[in-house]
Amino acid sequence: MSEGLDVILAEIRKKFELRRSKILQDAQQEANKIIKNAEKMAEIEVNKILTEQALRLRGKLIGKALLEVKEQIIKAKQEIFNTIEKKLEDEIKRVVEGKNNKYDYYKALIFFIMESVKAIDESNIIILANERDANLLKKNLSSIKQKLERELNRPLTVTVSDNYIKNIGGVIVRNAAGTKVYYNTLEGRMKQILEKYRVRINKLLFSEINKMMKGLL
Amino acid sequence: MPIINAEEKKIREELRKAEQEAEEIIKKAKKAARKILSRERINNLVQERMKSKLEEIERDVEEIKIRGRRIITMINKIPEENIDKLVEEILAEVFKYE
Repeated sequence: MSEGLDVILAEIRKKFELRRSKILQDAQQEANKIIKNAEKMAEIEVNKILTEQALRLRGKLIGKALLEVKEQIIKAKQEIFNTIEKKLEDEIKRVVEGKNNKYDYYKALIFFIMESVKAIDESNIIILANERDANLLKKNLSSIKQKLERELNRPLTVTVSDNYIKNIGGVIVRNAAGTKVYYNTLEGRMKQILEKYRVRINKLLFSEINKMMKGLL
Repeated sequence: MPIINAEEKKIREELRKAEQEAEEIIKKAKKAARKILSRERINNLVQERMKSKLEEIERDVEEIKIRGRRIITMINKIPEENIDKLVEEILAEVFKYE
């Protein structure tokens, strides 16, 4: 072969080699791009599923924990309310039994009757009480009647029922027909006042706790 | 010239092979991509990473419980005299006569 031909062939081979490596290089680049893209898409998919699942799981577990804690706190607070109620009931009994000199139970009883009679606004009234209080009222009926009439400025028929109620103290007052009834027992007053005090108790005893609970819940 | 023609034929053949090789590379890459995007692999990755997420959530749950216990301790430590004071106040209300 002539020297000129060798040069031509070498040139052709060189061009071929360049083309060949370009084809393979492009293919490799394209392959890398495909893999990289797949990894990116997989990462997006994984993160999407992970976020959704984690969020669901978080909501479920945190929600459950919060509910449990909230129930325990409510229970602990209720126990305090129960303690207050029990102590109050004991103190009321002490007043009724005359063991607490700060209060005059008889005066209170007369006031409860007065309050009830005013609320019922009838001329013929029947007072119901427990046996001990009923006997006390019967014994003082005429003076009670006078006091009521003086206060209301009209004549009244007042009867203390022989049907005793079972309670700590206080009265139930009704008209003769039984169409109007006013419950003024100590239990009733206690429950009503306790309910009224719930907000105050909550504020006085649990204000710090409520602040902490707000941060928690 | 016959020599050049023969060489050209040889080169064409080799180029065809290179193109086939290139196609093979792409094919393999696509196969690998399918594997990367397979449901099984994605689920495995999710499971794997979920462990640390779960640990994180469990830490938060524990924190809530600790704070809850702290609040309950505070409730149980409410001074007796505060309760008695309130009882006295309510008692006065029960026996209030004007």
